[in-house]
Amino acid sequence: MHSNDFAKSGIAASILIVIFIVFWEFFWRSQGYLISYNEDKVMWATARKKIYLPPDQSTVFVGDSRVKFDIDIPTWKAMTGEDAVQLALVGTPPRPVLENLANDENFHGKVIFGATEIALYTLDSIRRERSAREGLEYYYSETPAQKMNSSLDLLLESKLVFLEEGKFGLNALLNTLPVKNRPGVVVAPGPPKAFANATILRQSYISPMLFKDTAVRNATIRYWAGAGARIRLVPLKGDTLEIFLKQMKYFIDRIKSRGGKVFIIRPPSTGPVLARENSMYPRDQYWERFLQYTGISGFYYADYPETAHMDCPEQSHLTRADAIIFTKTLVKVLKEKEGWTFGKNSDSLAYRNN
Amino acid sequence: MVFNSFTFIAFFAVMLILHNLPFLSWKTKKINLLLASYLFYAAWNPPFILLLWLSTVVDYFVGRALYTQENKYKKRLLLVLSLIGNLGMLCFFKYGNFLLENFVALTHALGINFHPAKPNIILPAGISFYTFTTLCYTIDMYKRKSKPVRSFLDFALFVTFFPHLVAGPIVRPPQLVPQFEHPHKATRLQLQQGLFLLSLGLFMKVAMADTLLAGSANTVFGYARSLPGLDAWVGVLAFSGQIFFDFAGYSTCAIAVAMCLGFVLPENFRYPYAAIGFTDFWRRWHITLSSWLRDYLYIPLGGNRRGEFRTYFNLMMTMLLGGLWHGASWTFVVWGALHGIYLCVEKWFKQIFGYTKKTTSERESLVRADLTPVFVKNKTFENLLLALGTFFLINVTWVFFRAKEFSTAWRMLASMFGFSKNPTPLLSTIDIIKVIVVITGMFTAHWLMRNTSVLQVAKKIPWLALAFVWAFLVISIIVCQKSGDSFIYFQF
Repeated sequence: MHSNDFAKSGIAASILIVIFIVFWEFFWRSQGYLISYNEDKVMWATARKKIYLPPDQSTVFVGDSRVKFDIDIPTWKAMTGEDAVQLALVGTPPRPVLENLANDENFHGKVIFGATEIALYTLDSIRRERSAREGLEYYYSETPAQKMNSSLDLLLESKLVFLEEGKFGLNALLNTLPVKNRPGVVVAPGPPKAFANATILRQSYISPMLFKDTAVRNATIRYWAGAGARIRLVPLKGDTLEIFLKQMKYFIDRIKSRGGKVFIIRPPSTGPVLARENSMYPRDQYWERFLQYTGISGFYYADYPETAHMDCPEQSHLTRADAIIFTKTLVKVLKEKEGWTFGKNSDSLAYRNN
Repeated sequence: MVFNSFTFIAFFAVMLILHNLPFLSWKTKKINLLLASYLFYAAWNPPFILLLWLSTVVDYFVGRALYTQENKYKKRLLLVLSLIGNLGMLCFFKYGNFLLENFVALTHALGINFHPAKPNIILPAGISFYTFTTLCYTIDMYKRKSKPVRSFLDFALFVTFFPHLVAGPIVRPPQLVPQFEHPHKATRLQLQQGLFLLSLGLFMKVAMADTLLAGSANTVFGYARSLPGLDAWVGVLAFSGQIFFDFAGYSTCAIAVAMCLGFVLPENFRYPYAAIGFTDFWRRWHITLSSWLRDYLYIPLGGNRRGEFRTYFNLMMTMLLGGLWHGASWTFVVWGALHGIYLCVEKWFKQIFGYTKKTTSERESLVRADLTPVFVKNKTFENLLLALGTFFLINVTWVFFRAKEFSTAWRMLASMFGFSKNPTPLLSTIDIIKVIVVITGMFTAHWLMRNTSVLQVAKKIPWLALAFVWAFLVISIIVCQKSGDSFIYFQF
């Protein structure tokens, strides 16, 4: 083949590639998908770097998906004047991240962590804590090249919908094919890809597609309903619960010993999800015991009229509008009941926000 | 910096522009390439660049002294110094933990209660590769096989040239240094072919290795219980494909990047899974390492010149050390030992049964003499069966290469050969389909391409067909979206 022929192939290939990219982007946008960022270890590690901001400039959030959905970061920032460092991870217990913060002598800040019982009450579980461990491993081993790459990645992800690997990557697409598995094979597909989006600050919110399409809503409800069965969770009791509480108290005390503050929140859930959580983890045996044992204060959604009757469209997470109310109530409680002080401009910002 | 990242694409675009600026002198372009290579390496872990500098400076001056030194004893002393410097560094960083662990195990076996603090040694990327690159230079100087590199800049660039620095191909001075002596710039065809090969290399890494195969291999090898034979075999086949696509993908990218800049790097893979026998396999798999081991280990040990027993011993030693080169673990030694045994048995078979090649006319007359279907009598069919047999046995060796502990390897082998108790199925149907489709395609492609090359095939097909193939490769990379994952061979 002559150089000209190779050049012709290259030009034709480039045209085909551009056509494909345009088609692929418009196809997903036409389906209703919006810009959303990959929820991966790279973004988590980027957030983890911010924990060393002065204690009056940031608060670290730890926990599972409810912390990601129910804390509205712009509202938090407006009311407190502080950055929200979002370290919560979908389906992941807060234990490994709390342990990491406790063991980091350079961390003196404020921590708020989520108490979704199914995620919180677990001892060292390799499978369920994998995301946290991967994030931490990446954080400590990230190379300068990876740092540069993540900046470029984020720039492209902010422009192109199809670059969200968890939804539109080849494996994600193949995994949605209706192929039957052999008996005994347990696979854990994620929730429907139309369920939620994530911002660059790692805040998640329910996608408008869920409200438009009842099939998406029902599929998401089925997904959360099946989550308990997939995890095959047995609530911690007796000695194992005692070991867990002891461990958590140790982490909390270490953070507090360096001048840090720790607070726990229980965001809302509704319907069968709430019923299952209440039956598996009665409030007096878990929530109250946790507060008593560790000596920290907490925010239980049902105790406040603003949040007590909130509805979760898919039984587990708040809408963005409710997340704003939830966040405002939380900040109010922290300021008025717990005496937390925030950054210098918090009052004026809060005033402007209201 | 890895080839499969946006950072590299930006870096490479800048390098291409700088290298093609008409008003820069050749020396300036070489300095650019050298600085870019240091930047490429420092993007992993900047402090380790000091090791690279140390290795470069020491071997440049020791190499010159080795070539000019007439005194036999001083010459040997210099060589020993170079070997201690290069291999000492490799031993410390790569085998430090391994040696200490084994020493502790030995002391415990002797009843001594010895518990040293665990050293926290980080392995510098590519140390095994650049150590072998510099070692071959000093050994060549000792033997006066080639002349010393005159310019320090050329030598530093030979050691550090970013396409081959971290994971090969392992280059020898005569393959690369002469290319630095005179201005080199890619022709238009070289640039186009280089970009095509770069697309292919990235496709192999991103789409095949990382997206379609890595998941199943990781799931199966990370599972702590017995598996049905299907899951175990699919896991091993997935790794077999993953390691090939990952490493051959890297080599293809390296060759392509060098080609775009006007340089030629040696071929490193030649459709290894179409190998007929293990000698053939090592002529096709990681060619630059196997030829390095042959020239700088097997032949100096005596090769096949010192009798039958010594030949087998030399083969085994070469493969055992080749295994250890890949990683500081006994599982790699067993992997090397298995390959050594395969090679010895193959050699023995050839000696016992003879290996006389029949002429084409003899074969044809044999075919015509009976009623056996032609395809069975056909040499191609026989070779295909032999290639499949070779592939099967190579897959067994990959179990030890991939397993982190022997317990995992034994569990995998038991599952593969039907000795597992209470196996539980693990892989989803879609994962099994992905692996089977990719591995079947890979083996078929290797078989059909075993006597040709990608560029030769690309030259023969119509330009529009090539355009579709090229577009398919790039679109697959875009759809897979895996960027920045490290290459497996970086850890070696």
